[in-house]
Amino acid sequence: MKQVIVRRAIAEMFNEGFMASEITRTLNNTDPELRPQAFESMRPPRTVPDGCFEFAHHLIWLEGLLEIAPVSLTADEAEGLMALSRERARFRSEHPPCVKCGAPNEKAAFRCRECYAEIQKI
Amino acid sequence: MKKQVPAPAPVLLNLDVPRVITLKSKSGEFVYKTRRVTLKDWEQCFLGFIDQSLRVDGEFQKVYDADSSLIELADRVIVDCNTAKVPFSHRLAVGAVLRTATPVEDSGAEVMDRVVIGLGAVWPVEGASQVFEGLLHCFRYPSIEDLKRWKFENSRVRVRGEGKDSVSSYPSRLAIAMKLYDDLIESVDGYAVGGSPLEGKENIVREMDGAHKAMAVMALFTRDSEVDVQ
Repeated sequence: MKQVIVRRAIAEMFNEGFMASEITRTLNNTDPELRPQAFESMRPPRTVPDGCFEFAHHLIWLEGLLEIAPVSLTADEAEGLMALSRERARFRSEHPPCVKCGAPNEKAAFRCRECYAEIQKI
Repeated sequence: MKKQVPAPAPVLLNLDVPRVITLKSKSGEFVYKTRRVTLKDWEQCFLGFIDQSLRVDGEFQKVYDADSSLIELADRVIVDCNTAKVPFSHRLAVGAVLRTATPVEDSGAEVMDRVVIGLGAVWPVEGASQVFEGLLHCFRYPSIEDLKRWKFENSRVRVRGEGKDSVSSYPSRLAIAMKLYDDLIESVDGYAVGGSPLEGKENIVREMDGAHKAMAVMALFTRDSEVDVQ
């Protein structure tokens, strides 16, 4: 799988994770029969094939594994882990955590989307 | 709850005996004799399973087709039958019978540094379907590298196109499982070749049925943990 596609999949996976709590809240207040359509309309659009996310999930799992045990990596995995690290840094810089609850927020937000605490601007 | 090692099969399953599959329908009894299904046949069959997710103009569709590959398998291995033309549904039924192997409930008992997976299977001999249970596969405990290989191989999805119009083809888990079996297996119980019990890693790797290999490894990697939390 091309690295540029993997990188995009990782970026979109972070974005999906960022949107997840908001989407879940909305879905909980939606008629169960309408939930699939509601989910499709709310989820961030994917610009890479769905299969790329499978590898992105593998990288997340592998990253956790490497914290507890050394394992040999394939070239794809090594490059993927570097892309994961870069994309995470980019996501964090664009979505600073709330000082009170730690939830990531939009850089321009004035209040935390989870706990509504005021976000201190530096 | 502590898992028990299933009782071994009272009758050995002869892997090298030709399988005779009898299908009964309103129009009569159909008997199909098959040659032995080789590991290459199984690999070809599993790799032929289609598991795809499609996005056509943004619309998501899931496609899964194992039947076509099972029909092709049946076409390859049927060597004799009592009908001039094999109906489509019979080809599928023969393929499905050949593939039948299921982990017994609560399989995956851990004994010392081994994991024992029990399978049940329908193995038609001499036209009569025999149900075999307690077909035991004793694996060495999978290492981190084994688990990583399993996860990595399963994440290798072939993709085409861009997000809105794209095809993702997922790898065949059964084909991957069949490959891993040879590294992990230590011994088996309940199987025979040439009338003698199947013993020795080399013999097991060479003689074991591909569908049984695949199902045993699938059960090994998807079993519940046995750790008791008190």
